[in-house]
Amino acid sequence: MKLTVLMLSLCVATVMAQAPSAELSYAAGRDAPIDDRAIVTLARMTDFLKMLNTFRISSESSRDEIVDTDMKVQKNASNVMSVRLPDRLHAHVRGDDRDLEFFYNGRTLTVFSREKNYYASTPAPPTISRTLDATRARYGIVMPLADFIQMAAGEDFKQSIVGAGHIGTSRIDGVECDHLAIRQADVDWQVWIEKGATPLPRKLVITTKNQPTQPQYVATLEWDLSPGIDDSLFTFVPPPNAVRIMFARTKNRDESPANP
Amino acid sequence: MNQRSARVVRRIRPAFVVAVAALLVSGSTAIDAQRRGGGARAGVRVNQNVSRTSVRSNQTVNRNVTANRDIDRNVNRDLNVNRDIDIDRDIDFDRDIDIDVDYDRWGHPIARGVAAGVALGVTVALLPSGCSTVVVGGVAYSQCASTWYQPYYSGTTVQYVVVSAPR
Repeated sequence: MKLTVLMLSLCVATVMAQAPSAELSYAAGRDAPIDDRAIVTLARMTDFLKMLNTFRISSESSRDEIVDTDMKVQKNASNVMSVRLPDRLHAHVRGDDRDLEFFYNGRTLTVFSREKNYYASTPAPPTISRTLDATRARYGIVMPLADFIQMAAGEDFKQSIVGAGHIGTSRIDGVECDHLAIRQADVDWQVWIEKGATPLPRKLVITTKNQPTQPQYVATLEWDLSPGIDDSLFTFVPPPNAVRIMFARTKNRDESPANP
Repeated sequence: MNQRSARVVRRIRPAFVVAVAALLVSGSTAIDAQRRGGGARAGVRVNQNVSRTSVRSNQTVNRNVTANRDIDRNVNRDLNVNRDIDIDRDIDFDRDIDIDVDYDRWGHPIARGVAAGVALGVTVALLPSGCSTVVVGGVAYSQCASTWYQPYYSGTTVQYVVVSAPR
């Protein structure tokens, strides 16, 4: 009982402290298109992510691809993202028919395919945030869970939101989470945010609405907030037999269909 | 010099331009490709509809990239580009390469034959068997009998474009 009162007052305090910014006005109440509670919970998560410096995300993801005109098949991947803000990133993506590593050390971005033994390197912008964007715009490569890394780097996601609801309490891997549903023009997404002192995203679902089959992406996440990471992880050293090839520039700037 | 071999194939065929235009406009080429394929093509091109993996729109990303000038090739001028021959060079996707890769109904890439006469600029996602990797002047090629391919990353997928024999 005492605890409940304490939590309630904490909740109110959080609401007061993190009132939505001036450029957006949210109607109060659970029936509103943008529910305050959802926005406050989302803000708790992004504020927490912004405090992180070095972390590792291990995730299992699945992504719908369409075959035979309109049939959805699910492609799976295991991803490990090692991040040290603002300028170090290593990603290991093991998925269907691929085993890929990304290296970024603040100067150079390299993609290395272990199975094919091919790598491509390019000069990269000085921060992870800009490198993630440049890689996507230039080569159509979207890193796994790039959105959460962008949030940790301070990117504001609120502008695109046209609807947001707090669905309820859920459990992901046994951990109690707030379940949010967010609407944007071209995608709907859901995020499950851990309750308590570490409001981390534990699950993400993205539904792509501008395609007739409405394919989905699903990822569950495990966070390590104090990983031991050696700086050498971020710099690619080609194995003796590795062959260097080029990146193709993409002019349509769309997501690569072959993305992890 | 990397570009040289790719530039050889810069013969822009009208059909190819249409294909690229379709990509630019729709980002989804499945129906288009199947229609185009008609009976003439061996395989049905895979539907490229896939779920997005980021909630951020391309417009947002492009706005940031443009604002930061990160779309420029020489992003980092501290790098010794003289020694690293091709570090700031990318293949220009829509000018040099026929991106119309063939896939079967279930999304498997289809290898094209090695027979002479595979058009320059054609791209495949799978090489025929019996190819070997050859590095000429710092550029990697796959030689398949008399046909030479140059491998490159299209997104995170390695693809191969037919080029004229190096040297």
